[in-house]
Amino acid sequence: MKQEIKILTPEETYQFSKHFSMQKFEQKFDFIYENQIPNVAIVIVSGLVQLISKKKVKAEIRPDTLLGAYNLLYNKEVRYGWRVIEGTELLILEKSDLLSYLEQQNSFLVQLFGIKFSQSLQKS
Amino acid sequence: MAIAKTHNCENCASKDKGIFCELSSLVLQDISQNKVMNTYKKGQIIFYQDNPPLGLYCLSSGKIKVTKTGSDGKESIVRLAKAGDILGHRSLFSQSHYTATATTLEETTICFIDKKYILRAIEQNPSIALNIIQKLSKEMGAAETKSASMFQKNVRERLAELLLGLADSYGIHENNKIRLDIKLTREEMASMIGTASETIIRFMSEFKEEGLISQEGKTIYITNEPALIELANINY
Repeated sequence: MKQEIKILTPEETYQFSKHFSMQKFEQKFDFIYENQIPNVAIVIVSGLVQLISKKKVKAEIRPDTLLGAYNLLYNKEVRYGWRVIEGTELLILEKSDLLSYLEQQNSFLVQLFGIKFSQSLQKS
Repeated sequence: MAIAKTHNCENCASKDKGIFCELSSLVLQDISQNKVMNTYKKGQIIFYQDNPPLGLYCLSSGKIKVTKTGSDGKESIVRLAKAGDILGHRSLFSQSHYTATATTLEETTICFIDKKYILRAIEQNPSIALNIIQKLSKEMGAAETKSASMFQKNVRERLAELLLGLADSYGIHENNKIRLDIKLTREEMASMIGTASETIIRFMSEFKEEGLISQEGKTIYITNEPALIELANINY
C-alpha cells in the first residue's frame, strides 16, 4: 500500500507537470477498480480521488499525491479502486513515457523513483 | 531497471483477429512490455462517455457493449465488441473525448496501450494502421447499415436483422440451429434497434411461434435462418 501512494511536495508535483500532460475530469467515475493494474499512474493536481473497496470509500486522497506508478511499472494490482470526483485535475503518467524517461536516466524521475522506490527496486 | 514480466501478446488467443497479427516477435515483446492487462468483471466500465481518451483497448477475451447516452438520459447500444476487437481508437485518433461508454457484458480481459506508445508503434509499423483502417471501415459499414435500417425497416425486420447480426458475430452452429453465444437483456436488444423492450418481448414470442427462433433459459437459438433472412429483407 505504501508503494501505491506517494505524497509529493508541491515542487515535485510541479516537476511532474513539466513532463506529463494534465487532464480535467468533469464527472465522477471509477478510474480503476480494486485488484486491477492501473492503465496509467496519476498525480493529483486538484480535486479528490477516493479509494474504494467493496463499493465503500476507504480514504480520500488529495492533491500532491502520486498514485500507481509502482503498480504500473511492476504490473502489480492496486489494493483499492480509484474513484475520481468531478472537476479533478490529474497528471497522466503513461507507462511507455515512464519507462522511456527512466531508461534515459531523467534526473528528476531517477532521483524521485530512486529515493521513493529504492527498496522495491532492490527487492525485484 | 528491471520491470516485471507481462503476458506476451504473441501468446494471446485473439492475436490473429487483432491489429497486431502481422508484427514480428520482437515488436510484440515490446508491446507486451508497454501494455497493461486487466480482467474486468461483468458490468464494470472500461471508459466513460465525455472523458478524455488515454489509450487504446484491445479485447483479449469477453464481450463489451458500447453505449451512448442522449441528452434525455436514454441509453442506446451503438456497438458490441468481442475478442480481437479494439476500443477507444476513434476518440484517440480524432483527439476528441469519448462519445460513448464501454461496459463489460461478461468477465472480460483487456489490454490497454497508452496513447503515446500506440501512436509511435503505428508510425513504425504501418500494418497496425492498415488493420485499424480495416476495423474502422467495417464499423462504418455496420453503422451505415444500422442507420439505413432505422429508416427503411419496421421493428420486426430490424429485430430479425439484429438476430442475424448476432449470429454472424457470436453464432455457434449446433444440431441444425445456431446458438447465440451472447446474453443480452430485452432492454439491451431494444436499445440496439430503437424500440421498447415490450415490443421486443412481443416480437420474440411471435418469432418463437413461427419457428424462427427458440430459447433455452437465457440462450437464444436461431432455428430457421433462411426464413429470418427473408424476413429481415437482407442478403447474407
